[in-house]
Amino acid sequence: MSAGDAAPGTGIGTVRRDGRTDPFFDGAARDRLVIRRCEPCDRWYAPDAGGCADCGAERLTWAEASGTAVLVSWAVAHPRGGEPAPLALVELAEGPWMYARLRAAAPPHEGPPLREGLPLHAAFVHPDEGESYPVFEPDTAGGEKRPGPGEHRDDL
Amino acid sequence: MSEAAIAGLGMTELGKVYGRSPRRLAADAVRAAAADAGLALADLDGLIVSSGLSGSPGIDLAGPLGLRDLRVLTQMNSFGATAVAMVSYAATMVSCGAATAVACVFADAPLTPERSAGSAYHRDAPEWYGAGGLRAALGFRSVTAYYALAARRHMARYGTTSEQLGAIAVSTRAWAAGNPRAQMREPITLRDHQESRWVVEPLHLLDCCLVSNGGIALIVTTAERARDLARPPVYVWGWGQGHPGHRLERGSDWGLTTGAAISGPAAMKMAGVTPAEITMCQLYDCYTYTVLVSLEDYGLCAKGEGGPFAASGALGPGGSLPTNTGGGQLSAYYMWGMTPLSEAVIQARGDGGDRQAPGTDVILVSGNGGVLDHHATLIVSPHPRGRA
Repeated sequence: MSAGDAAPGTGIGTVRRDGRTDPFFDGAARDRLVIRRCEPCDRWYAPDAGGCADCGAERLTWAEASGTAVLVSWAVAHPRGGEPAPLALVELAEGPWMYARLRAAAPPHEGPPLREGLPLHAAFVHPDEGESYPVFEPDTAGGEKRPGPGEHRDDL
Repeated sequence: MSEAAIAGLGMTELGKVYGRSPRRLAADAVRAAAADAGLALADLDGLIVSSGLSGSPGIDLAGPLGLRDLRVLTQMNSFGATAVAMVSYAATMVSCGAATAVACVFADAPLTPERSAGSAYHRDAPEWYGAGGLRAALGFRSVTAYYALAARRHMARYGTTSEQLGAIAVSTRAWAAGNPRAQMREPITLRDHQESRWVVEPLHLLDCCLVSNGGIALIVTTAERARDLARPPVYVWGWGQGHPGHRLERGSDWGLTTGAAISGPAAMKMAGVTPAEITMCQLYDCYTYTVLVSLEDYGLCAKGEGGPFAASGALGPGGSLPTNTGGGQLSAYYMWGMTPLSEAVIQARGDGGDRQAPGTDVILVSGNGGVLDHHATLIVSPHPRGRA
């Protein structure tokens, strides 16, 4: 996705760094999904995870995920006075679930019918103000499928 | 071990009650509960205070009530499972003789005259921080978003429909019509439910609970002592908790199965009953979906069949399993776990007035906290254990 892409739906507040999850935003700025990982346990976690549920480690590393996912569940928030916001719970290829926005998933957008297991991939929004962030869109929605890990390693 | 019983129930005005702090509401509720039981405050030797949304009292509540020489004094927090957890703890203490009369109280006052009810449980900010803040920025502004995802998952897996959730809203409102304390008593139809605005699709406004100010307290004592007090004892047959600790990762049944699948069997085992012997339910109904999935996890219908079960009319007036007979949190008042618990006491005593339901022999009370993360179950009856 190109810089300056419009956010999917209005009502998104400006997102700032918190000093604890900066690598996630560094990744998003480069169109990469960077999430948390416990190396000794070989387990992946969502970017806002606090620790490893297996070994209790509080220090998780950051690692680049493939950006591919499947849909677990979905919903549409209808804020009063705002545009509907398509929400999703997605299962990343590496295993963890992540709360996210769906793109092209609510009328009037075109897209395949939503269902459990629908293949998705991360796309990235680069707002003029605030941090970049990922959204997920169906593989068949005409969205460009981003390169997998191992490609474009030069920009990591 | 002695059997425990609920001997007193105190309720303040509930709903848009302004001008009283949670601390004051809690004190008023405890006084009312003691008076209801026919006890003086000095007769209490235990006080358990529930956490609330904000500004709720802690163990310092003993001071303004003038309670001295207490043998149990604590604050508890299991979110929406707290009320049942408090009664379970109180029952344990009186059963083993560690205390003789324990007050359990919840009070909260999230409503203010200037704000909408929904804003009390809604986050909004011009800026959000970090990966956690991003989630709220993207539209996960209240817990409704997570319940919507859970409900949608059930729909996708089992074919549950919005109309089936609506059947719960309609039957609950039908019960509320007979409850003078209910905030919403005007009957609604399935069409009203379907036409109410989306909050977070697939949840309509009429799938969501109210927000209320007020306080409710109970007095727990031994069954033996309760028999000598002012009101008919409500016997506590069994209790259990369930905190599944769902991991949000591949293979999780988050949203489809709740802690009720753990707390229910534990409570029923202690009570010596099976799901088929439950005659009435008072279920935590922060959302219609919570009712549907709880019914399944308690074994009152098969997994995946909560929708057809609700749509069958079983839960409403005249149905085979009277459920949320006071109008629940959806239509009566939102006092966290005290909503189902207070209605169980009212029904067990036969004090339901226009809404008094048959089949009070074995009443299941359910608390739910977090997003289907924390459950506590209580089985109560107007009869001593084993004599229903």
